[in-house]
Amino acid sequence: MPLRLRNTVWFEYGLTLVVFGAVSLLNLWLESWIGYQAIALVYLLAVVLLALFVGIGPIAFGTALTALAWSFMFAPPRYSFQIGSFYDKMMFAMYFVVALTVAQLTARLRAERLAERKREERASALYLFTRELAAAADRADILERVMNHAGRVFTADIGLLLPADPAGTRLILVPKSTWHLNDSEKEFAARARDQNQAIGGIPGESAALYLPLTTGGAAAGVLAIRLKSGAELSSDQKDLLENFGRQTALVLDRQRLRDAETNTRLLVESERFGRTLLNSVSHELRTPLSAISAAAATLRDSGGLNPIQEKLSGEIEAATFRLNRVVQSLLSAARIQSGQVRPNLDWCDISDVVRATLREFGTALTKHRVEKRLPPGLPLIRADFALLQQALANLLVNAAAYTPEGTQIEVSAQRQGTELVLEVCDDGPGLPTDQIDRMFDLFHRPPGSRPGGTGLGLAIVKGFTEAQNGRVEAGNRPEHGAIFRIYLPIPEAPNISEEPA
Amino acid sequence: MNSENRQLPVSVLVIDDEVQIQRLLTIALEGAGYRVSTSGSGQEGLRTIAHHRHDVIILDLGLPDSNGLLILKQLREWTQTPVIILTVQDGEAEKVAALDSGADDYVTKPFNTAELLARLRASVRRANQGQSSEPIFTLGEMKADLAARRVTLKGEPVKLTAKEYALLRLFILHAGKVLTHRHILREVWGASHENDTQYLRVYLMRLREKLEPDGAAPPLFLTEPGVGYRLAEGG
Repeated sequence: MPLRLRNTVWFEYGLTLVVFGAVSLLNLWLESWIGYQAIALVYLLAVVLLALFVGIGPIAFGTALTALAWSFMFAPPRYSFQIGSFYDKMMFAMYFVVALTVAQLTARLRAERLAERKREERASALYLFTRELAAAADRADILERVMNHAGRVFTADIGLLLPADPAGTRLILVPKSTWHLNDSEKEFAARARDQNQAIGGIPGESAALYLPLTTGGAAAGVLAIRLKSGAELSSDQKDLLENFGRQTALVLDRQRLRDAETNTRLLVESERFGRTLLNSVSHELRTPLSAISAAAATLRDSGGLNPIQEKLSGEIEAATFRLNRVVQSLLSAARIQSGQVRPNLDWCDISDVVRATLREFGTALTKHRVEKRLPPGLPLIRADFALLQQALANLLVNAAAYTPEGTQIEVSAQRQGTELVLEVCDDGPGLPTDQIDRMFDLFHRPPGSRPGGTGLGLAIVKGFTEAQNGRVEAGNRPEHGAIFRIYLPIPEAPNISEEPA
Repeated sequence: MNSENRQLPVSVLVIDDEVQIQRLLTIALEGAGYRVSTSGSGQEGLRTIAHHRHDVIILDLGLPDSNGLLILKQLREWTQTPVIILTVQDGEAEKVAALDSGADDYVTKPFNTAELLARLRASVRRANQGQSSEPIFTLGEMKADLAARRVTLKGEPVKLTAKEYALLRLFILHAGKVLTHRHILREVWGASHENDTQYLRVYLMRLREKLEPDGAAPPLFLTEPGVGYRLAEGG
């Protein structure tokens, strides 16, 4: 308690009263030696000295008190407030003016010294805070240090509320908060954030302050503080806290940017690693394949082989072709899985895609009758020609592999609303109905499917189609046979300025 | 050309870092009557080309010492010897870059030997012919008289607009050669349209409607997926 009293105004008045009481007693004793006029100088000295320690209010009070005491006890006629001689009256007035002037000057000096000390204290508190944050390793560490430091400096419970997600409107309490806000307190925090201004001194609520953390733009979060004493924060404390808040927001912002940068770098590095790996695997597998197929072809073309040797070289070529397709599928699937598919979307004529695919993969379809239905006037779409061709080729090769020789495979394209539908129908046994939903899954192979095959083909169809903003669908025809569809969005027709006829 | 061929074999330079591919190409090409020399690196290849005359160059784009594309560009600064690129299947962008940098054709690995030989023959023939001086071009049922600006199909005249004709003429002048989208667009529509693929798609559709009405016949205009188009070779 005495410690608290020291800083109050009442203490200063009390001190003034005591000091001047003592000086008056001293003066009563001194008077016989120095005369009643010099007594005024002793009082003046006391006023000046006291002004170094107390405010202007108590000094003015003391000055009035001592002036009255002098006129009552010392100036003749004694023991009355009347002052006899003109000289003494002048003395009384001058005493007032001099004492108050000196006290005023001294008080100003003192106030400046006090302000200086406060500034120093705040600067050093802020410096310590900044140093504390600078040492933080990551976001969680920053938050913990903010709460610990502010809690220590203000002797308070701290709650930090931050958005649940980057775009989030909902604030959640940081787990290590020392003040676990209840729902209505969280309401205040949210309001402080939304209005982007500190809320405090709410009647009927604890003397808490909700300070939005902002770097100038919208508030990132809210710092809620409640002094352990239960008192309200003084304006100085609010000031300091606001500085803490700004600093915290800045550091959080910087950390967010740093995190984003780190993530981007990691992503780029892992992508580059994936690409390099794919490229080197692709090269290492395809080079020997090239050698084998070239060797087999040259062997066959060199002539002079007996029928068995000729058959064997044909087998080598066929096996190489198949192995190459497997390598191609594996690499495609790996590209899809690692997000390395970069479709080069450009205007495409779907009829052209179908024709080019049939031309290139015709050899795999020779045992089936392939019908194509391409109505004239199909709109251009935006797609990656090569990816779309691979997707279609997989559907065709798939159809050929799962249907009896000699049956029909039908490929068609048509407009359906805002989409272009590319369709491959076969005349085979159709898909097991309970498996239809999983047909496009990676490595999914329906029970009873033919031996061989990687289970990659349809997954690649799906991956490549979706990379081009399309979707896939599988099903059975009402009669018999399976049906696979690729849907691609039809963009607004491209601008083509016609030449003069 | 065939009579020349018998006197002096066509010489091929293979630039590939894979020794096995070098060996196999040597066997296959020598078996087909070419004279073959090999280089294991791009730099070595450039030196060889500077000292010896070659009729055609096969260049693997995936060279270790320097990007094959860079070698191609350096080469094109001083020689027009036809270059055929060996590239991988997913490398559309690479193919386009190589063709735009002056490569004459490409073959995708693992390559088909017969196809490689066909491309080689066509490249050498085109290089020897230079710009076709023959004004009449015949391809299947189509006949084009470039001097008279007249196109017929099965003897019937075909009406083409100015742009359609310009497109057909460009194809005929480079019959058998892959033309990239960008190249065609620049030549026919001008540099400001070199990315407007939609023009190319639409006009090719129209040309095909007029000149390939019968879907069953071998097509005149061959699509090179993601790269460009090629006109089937005349005969």
